[in-house]
Amino acid sequence: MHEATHDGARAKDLEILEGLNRNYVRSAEQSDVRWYTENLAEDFLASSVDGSIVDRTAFLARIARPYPGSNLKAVAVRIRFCGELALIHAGFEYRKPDGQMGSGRYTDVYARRQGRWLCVAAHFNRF
Amino acid sequence: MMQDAARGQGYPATADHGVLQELNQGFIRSVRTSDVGWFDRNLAEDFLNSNADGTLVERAAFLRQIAPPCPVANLDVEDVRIRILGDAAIIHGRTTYTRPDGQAAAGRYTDVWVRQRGRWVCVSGDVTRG
Repeated sequence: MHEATHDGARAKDLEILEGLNRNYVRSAEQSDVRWYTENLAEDFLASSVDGSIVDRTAFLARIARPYPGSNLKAVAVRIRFCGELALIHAGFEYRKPDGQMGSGRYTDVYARRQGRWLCVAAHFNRF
Repeated sequence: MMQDAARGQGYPATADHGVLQELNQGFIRSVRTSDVGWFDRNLAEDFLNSNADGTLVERAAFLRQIAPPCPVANLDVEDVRIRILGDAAIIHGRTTYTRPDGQAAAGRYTDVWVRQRGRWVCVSGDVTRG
């Protein structure tokens, strides 16, 4: 019974994280700063394709600018739990302004804080 | 040159912090020297690595990838930030190295470690190469 409860909680967490991942990608393309404001931890850090690492404030400023492409979607999403952390590994595809297809990969780390999953780290590459 | 960038970032120095700093140095040294044994001892069974070329590899494939001589020279790390979140830790760092053509280059990585049965093991790596 306890195990069933645990499995049920894990399934619920998985559903929540799938939703967070979908919205993370949607919000990147739509420059939805509000979504990130609500779902990034105060100590969030993002490592970007240019080798920079930025904190929450700088990341929000970057998100506010128009996304350099369209039709952004995550592919091959893998979500796993490591204690109180959840790791999301995924690829992504998008259409560049010149019409060519582009791709990349990211790892997002979420932590459960006060009962909510908040993103604490992101690392992405674009090719 | 390794820098304790955690100081001044609001992350307190603890015994775990020291252990993770050593593990981070070991990770970089072992990439540089193709030390498969070190990775075999310190990677979790479910380790996944996102490579700079966009591939995602599991533990066994990563160990095979480490075995040949490191394709870059003078690999070093700087701007290391260690964040301990309970029984998990995230390490952010910047790498510097020399490409085979002699050009200086830099990259970045994010590693995730978790405490399992009293030991820190690496569960995830993500690498960007500039």
